[in-house]
Amino acid sequence: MSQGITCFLVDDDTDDLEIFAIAAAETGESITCITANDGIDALRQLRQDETFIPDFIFLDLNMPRMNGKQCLVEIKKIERLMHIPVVIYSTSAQQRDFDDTLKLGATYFFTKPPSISALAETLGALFRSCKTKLPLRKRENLSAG
Amino acid sequence: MIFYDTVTIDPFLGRENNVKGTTPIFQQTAGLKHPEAVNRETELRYLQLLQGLPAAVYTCDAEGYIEFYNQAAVDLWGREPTIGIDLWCGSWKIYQTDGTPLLLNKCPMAIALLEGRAVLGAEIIVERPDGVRRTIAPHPRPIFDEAGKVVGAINMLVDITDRKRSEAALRESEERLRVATESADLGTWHWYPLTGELIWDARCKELFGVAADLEMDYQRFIMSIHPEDRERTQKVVDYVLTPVSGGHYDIEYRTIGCQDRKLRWLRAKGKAYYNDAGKTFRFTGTVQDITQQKETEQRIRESEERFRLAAETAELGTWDMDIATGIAVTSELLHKILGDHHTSWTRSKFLAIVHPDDRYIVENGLTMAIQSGRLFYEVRIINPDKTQRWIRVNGKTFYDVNKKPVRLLGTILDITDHKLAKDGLEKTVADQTRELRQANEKLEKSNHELEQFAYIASHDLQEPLRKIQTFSSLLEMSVENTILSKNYFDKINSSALRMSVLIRDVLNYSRLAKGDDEFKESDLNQIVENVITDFELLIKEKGATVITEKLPTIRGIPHQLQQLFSNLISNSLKFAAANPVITITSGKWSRPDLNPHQEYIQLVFQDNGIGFEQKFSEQIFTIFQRLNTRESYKGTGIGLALCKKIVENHRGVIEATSELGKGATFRITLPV
Repeated sequence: MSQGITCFLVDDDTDDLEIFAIAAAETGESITCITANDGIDALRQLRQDETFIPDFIFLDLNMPRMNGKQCLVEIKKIERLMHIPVVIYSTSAQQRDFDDTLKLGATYFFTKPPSISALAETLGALFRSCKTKLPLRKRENLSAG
Repeated sequence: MIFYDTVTIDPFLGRENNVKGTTPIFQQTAGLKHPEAVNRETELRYLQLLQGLPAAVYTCDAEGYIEFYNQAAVDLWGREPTIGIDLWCGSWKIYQTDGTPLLLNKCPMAIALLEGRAVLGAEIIVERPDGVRRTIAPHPRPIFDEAGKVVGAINMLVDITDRKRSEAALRESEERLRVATESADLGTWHWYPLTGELIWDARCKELFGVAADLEMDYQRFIMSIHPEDRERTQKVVDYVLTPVSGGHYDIEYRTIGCQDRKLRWLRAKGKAYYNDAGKTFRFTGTVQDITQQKETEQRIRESEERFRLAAETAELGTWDMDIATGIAVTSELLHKILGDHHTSWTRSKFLAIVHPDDRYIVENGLTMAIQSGRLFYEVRIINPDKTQRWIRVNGKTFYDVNKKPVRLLGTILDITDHKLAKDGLEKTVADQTRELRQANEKLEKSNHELEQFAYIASHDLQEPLRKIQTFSSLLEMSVENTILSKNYFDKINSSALRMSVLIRDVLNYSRLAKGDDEFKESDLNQIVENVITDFELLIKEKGATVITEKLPTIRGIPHQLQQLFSNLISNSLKFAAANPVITITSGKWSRPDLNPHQEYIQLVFQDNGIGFEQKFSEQIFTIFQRLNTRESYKGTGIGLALCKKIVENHRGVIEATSELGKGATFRITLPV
C-alpha cells in the first residue's frame, strides 16, 4: 500500500473533481484520487477490482443515473468496504440529506465550499483523522462563507 | 113543622166569577092561600130539591137543635144526626183550619144563631167517625120571622177539601218556581193581552233597568228594547200570539234600561195560552240576563276571526280532526295548499297524497302526537298535476275528561320554497366549500411547486456561483497580482459572495413562506440565549451590551423565532454606533384590532444605533429594500422582510419606530 491516502471520488461534475484535487494537494498530504463519474460507474469499478480498497470514498449526491444515496446503499453492501469512511460531499445543505445519508451509513457530510482553501482545510482535518484513526463525526456549519 | 113557600136560590160565586154552588134562602111569605094541599105539594118538591142538592144542607131551630138535614150532609158528616139531640153541627168533631179543635157551640152555625147574622167566609175541618177529615166552607144564615126574630138557621156546607189541596199544591208549586227562578236569576213576567195587564216581578224589572215600583205596560216593554232589536222582537211576539206558533216563545234581545240606561242582553222564554176564540189570554214566561255570555261569545268570535286572519296571513291552512273517525274540518287555505284533490278531507285521503317514501313519517307523527300531545313533521305531497310540494304539519292533541285523545288540531304550511332555498343554500355552501377546498389544494400545489422551484433554482444557481468563486480564487493564486488585478478579483469575489448570500436568503424566505412548521411551546429566553451565543464574537468585537428581561414562553416555531431574533440583533449590531446597547423587553398586550379574544405579548427590541427616518418605517420590511448603500452596510436587504414573514407566520405584527441618529425600536406583537 502506498504511503499516501487514496480517495475514491464519485462526482459527475468534472470541475468539482478538479477542485478537489487541487484542494487535496494543498493539504500537504500525499493524496491519490480515483474518480468515477456516476454511481453505476463507481460500483462497477469497486466490484471489478476486489483489491481496490480506498481510504476514503467521497460521494456526491446529485448525480445522473444513480444518485448518491442509492450508491451509498450499494457501497455499504460491499463487505470489504464496510469499514471505509464514506464522505458525502455535496452542494446540498439540506438537513434532510444529512439525516438520510448518516442513517444510510455515511460517516461524514459536508457541503462543497466556495473556496479552495476552505475545502483544503476540511480535507486536511479529514486526512489527519484517518492517520490517527480518530473517528470524526461533525456537521459542518451551514452558514460558512 | 114550618112551611116555607118561597125558596130563593142564590148562586154562590167563586173567584173567577163562576158558579160554585147555591145557597137556598127559605122564606115564609105572608098570606098562604091553600095551606094544606099546596103546602104538601110544595113541601114534597122542596124536600126533593133539598135532598137532591149535592151540597150538604141542614137546618136547626132557634136553640140550635138540628131539625133537617139532607143525604149530602150525612155523607159529609159520616153520620146521621139525632134529631133533638145534635146541636148546631152534625159533625163528629170539628176543628179550625189550623187544626185546633173547635167547640160545637163556637161553630159558624152557632154564631149565626147567636148573633143573628150570616157568617161568611168561614172554613172549618170536620172529622168523620172514621177519622177522615174534610175541609168545608159553611154558609150559615139565620132564619127570621115576620117580626125579625131569629127562629132558626140554615146552613150549607161546601166540601172544599179538594180545592184546599189544589190551592196548597199551587202555592207549593209557586214557591218552587219562585225558588227556581230566584236561583236562576230569572225574572218572571205575566201578560194578559186581553186586559192589557202586564205583571213583572222585581228581578224582571231589574233586568229592564226599571225601578221596582214602576208600573209596566207593553209599550214600556217595547221601548225598553234596543232600537235595533225592537222590530224583530215585535214580530216574534206577534207571531207567538197566534195559535199556529204553538205558543212557544224564545228570543234574545238587548235592552237599554229605562232608568239606568244600561245595556243588557236578555233571553226571554215563555208560553202563550189561547182561548177558544184563538186569542191569547195569557202570556207568561221568564227573562234571563245573558249579557256576560253574549260578551264572551263576542270575544270568542273576535278571537276566532283574529286567528283566522293570522292563519291566512301566515298562509297556514287549518284542520280539526276527530281522531276516532279521521274526518277533518278544514279551512279553504288548506284545500289550496293540499292541492284541491277533495272537497272534504280525512286522514286516509291525506295519506294517499303524501309521497310514498314519506308516508311512514305521517304514521309515526300521529303516534307521537297521541303520546306527547304535539304533532310535527315535514313531508312531500303530490299535487294532482304530479308536481311535488313540501309541507310542514304542526298540531296539538286534545283529550277528553278520561285523558283519552279525541281530537287533533293543527296547521299546514307549504314550505317548498323555503326547502328549496335551504337546499339551494346548502348546495351553495357545499359548492363553495368544494371550490374553496379545490382552491386550497391548488394553492398548496402551487406553494409546493414554488418551494421546489426555489430549492432547485437556488441549488442550481449556487452551483455555477461556487465555480466562479473557486476558479476565481484559483486564478488569483496563479497569476502575478497587480493592484488592479487584485481589485478586479475582489470585485468578482464579493459579487459572487453577495449573490450566494442572496440566493440563500431567497431560498430561506421561500421556505419560510411555506408556513407548515409545527408550533411548539417556545421559551423565548432560551431562544435569545442561543442567538446571543451565536453572535458572541461579534458582540465582543463591537463592544456591545445586550440587556434582556425575563421573557415569556409562547406557542411558536422555535427555529423561525430564533431566526427572527437573530436578524434583529444582527441588524442592531450592524447599524450600531459606538457602544451599542440592545435591550429586549416584553409585556402583556391586547390587540382588539387583530383578535379581541386573543392574549398577546409585545417584545421590544431597542437599540441606540443609527436609526432611520420614521417615514420609512413600513418600507424597511419590504424584501430587498435598503435604506443605505451597499458600500456602507452589508446585507441583501432581506433581513427585515424575513422578520416580517416570521411574525406573520405566528399571526402577529411587527412595527418599527425610529429617528435618525436616535436608534431604532422594533415592537413585535405575538399571540401567547
